[in-house]
Amino acid sequence: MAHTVQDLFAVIADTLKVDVSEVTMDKVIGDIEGWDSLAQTNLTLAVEKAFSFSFTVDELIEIEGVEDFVEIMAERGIIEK
Amino acid sequence: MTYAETYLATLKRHAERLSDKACYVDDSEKWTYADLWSKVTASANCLREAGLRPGDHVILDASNVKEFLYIYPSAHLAGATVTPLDPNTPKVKIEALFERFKNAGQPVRYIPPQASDLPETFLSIGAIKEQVEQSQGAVSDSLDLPTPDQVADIVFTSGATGQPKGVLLTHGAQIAAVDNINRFGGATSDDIELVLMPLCHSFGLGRMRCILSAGGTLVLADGVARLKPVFKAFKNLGVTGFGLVPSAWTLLRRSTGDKLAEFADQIKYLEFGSAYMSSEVKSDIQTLLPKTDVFMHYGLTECSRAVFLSFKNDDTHLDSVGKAAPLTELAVLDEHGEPCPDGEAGEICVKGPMQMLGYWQDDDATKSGMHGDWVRTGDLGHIDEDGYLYLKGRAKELINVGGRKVSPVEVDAVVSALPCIEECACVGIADPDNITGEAIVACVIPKPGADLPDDRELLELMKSSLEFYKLPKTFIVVNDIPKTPTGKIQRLALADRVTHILSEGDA
Repeated sequence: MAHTVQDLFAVIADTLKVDVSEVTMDKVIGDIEGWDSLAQTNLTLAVEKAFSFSFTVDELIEIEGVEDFVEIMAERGIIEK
Repeated sequence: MTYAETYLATLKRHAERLSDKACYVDDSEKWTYADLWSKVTASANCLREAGLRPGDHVILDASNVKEFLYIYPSAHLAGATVTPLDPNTPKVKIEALFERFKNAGQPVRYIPPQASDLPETFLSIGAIKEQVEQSQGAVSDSLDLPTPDQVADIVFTSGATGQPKGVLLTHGAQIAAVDNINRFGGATSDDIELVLMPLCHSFGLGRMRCILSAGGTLVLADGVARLKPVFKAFKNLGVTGFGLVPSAWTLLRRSTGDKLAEFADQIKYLEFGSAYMSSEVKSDIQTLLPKTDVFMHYGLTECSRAVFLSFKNDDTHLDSVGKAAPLTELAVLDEHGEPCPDGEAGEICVKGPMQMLGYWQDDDATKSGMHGDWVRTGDLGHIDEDGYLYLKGRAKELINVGGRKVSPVEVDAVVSALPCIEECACVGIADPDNITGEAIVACVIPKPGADLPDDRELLELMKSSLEFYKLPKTFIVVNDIPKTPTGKIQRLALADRVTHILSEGDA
């Protein structure tokens, strides 16, 4: 059974070291303190590990915020929107 | 030695001779050199009309936005000196900077991105942009250009004692640095350069001056966190050159694998700087981009880009940091400022027309930071018989986090001020994630009976006092902090202990 958007938000919150309430669809890189290039790399690795899949290079280039994670992962059937 | 040229004079000349040439492009906009100079003069007039006087000091938010390209030189044209400010600087630190200028009797004007409630706030970047757009083409070009011997910028760098030191750089020194870099490799008027390192730091700001002084075209991005604009710039705008710090390369390579090789035929040059890079990584880059002139600089804000290494031409010396740059002299001196015997290690010292005048309002630091007219780097090394410089370690106790120098003393003070902490000493260790070169570890002794919060809560308490990159990666509770008989923290011994603790996994 596919994971939920909330599962994804929990991983994002945990990796960025913020409360899950701060993770919303409109947040992009830089909107949460410390979400810089290093955090973005750590975040993509953490999401891949938590949901047991790998982003393609072109997907990684596309990801600029929470909504991009959701769209790409829903498209691939990893989470349910 | 003073250079008989300035960055502003170069821009003005380009506006006359290369008037229709593109100096800046993005997805929807293109500025010619004539446009740029028109904006510089309009912005300078706007600053003057708002009350800026020659001799004032401007603290300018240096976010990677296109308006910076004209507001920064316009402040110089209006007769001010400038401090390009890291946009992530906490408010308390900006206010502390205001105080330092005010205490020195120096009028200071703060230019934030948007309207701000901080004292000393002058016009915002947004307000200047609006006025410049309204006055396009309607301003006179009557302001005098600054002379090469005038101070252009006061750039604050971490000092080993914690208090940031203001490096005084003249207009002549800044253009000499450009000449030095462009003579070695890189930008020409045919090039399109992607500037994606922060403009608030010497490296990014230097790249901006290099491509625009060469008469090339600049494309702007904001780091490598967002990869889409980076690859769009290569694909759609035909970028031919760029500069990166090693940690940004590591992240780019880790995230995108061989993707950059798709542009191997178009990328002419790539400059690295600001932090250590291993020979293996250097070889990997040159293999991925075989046609590209990849080079790396070693230097410091006080004497920009003193040493260069070409990954292609110096491939048998990739473990060195390279040879003296075209306009630079290099020496290895002992503690008295005398040359060390050939091949022996000592402190690396540099001099050239790009070097600083000294430190602002700090004669003691200027005196101790120089040996005669040689700038002391604080790094230890030796020069081999072929002239290659090899680094052996640091004489100063700064921690290099992804190319940004952090004073452990500054972080110690913030951690020690937390109510639950008795004492703290920070050290730099090899970054366990292998990205930022060094990482900060805070060794803390808790107050007796105090409950120590977890790392996340500790960091939360420190965020308002320190820039994000200065926050410790890890906290370790220790029973004591090794010190000399005079009470000086023995950081090397402590760093060894921390490395041991972390490798044992019993932290």
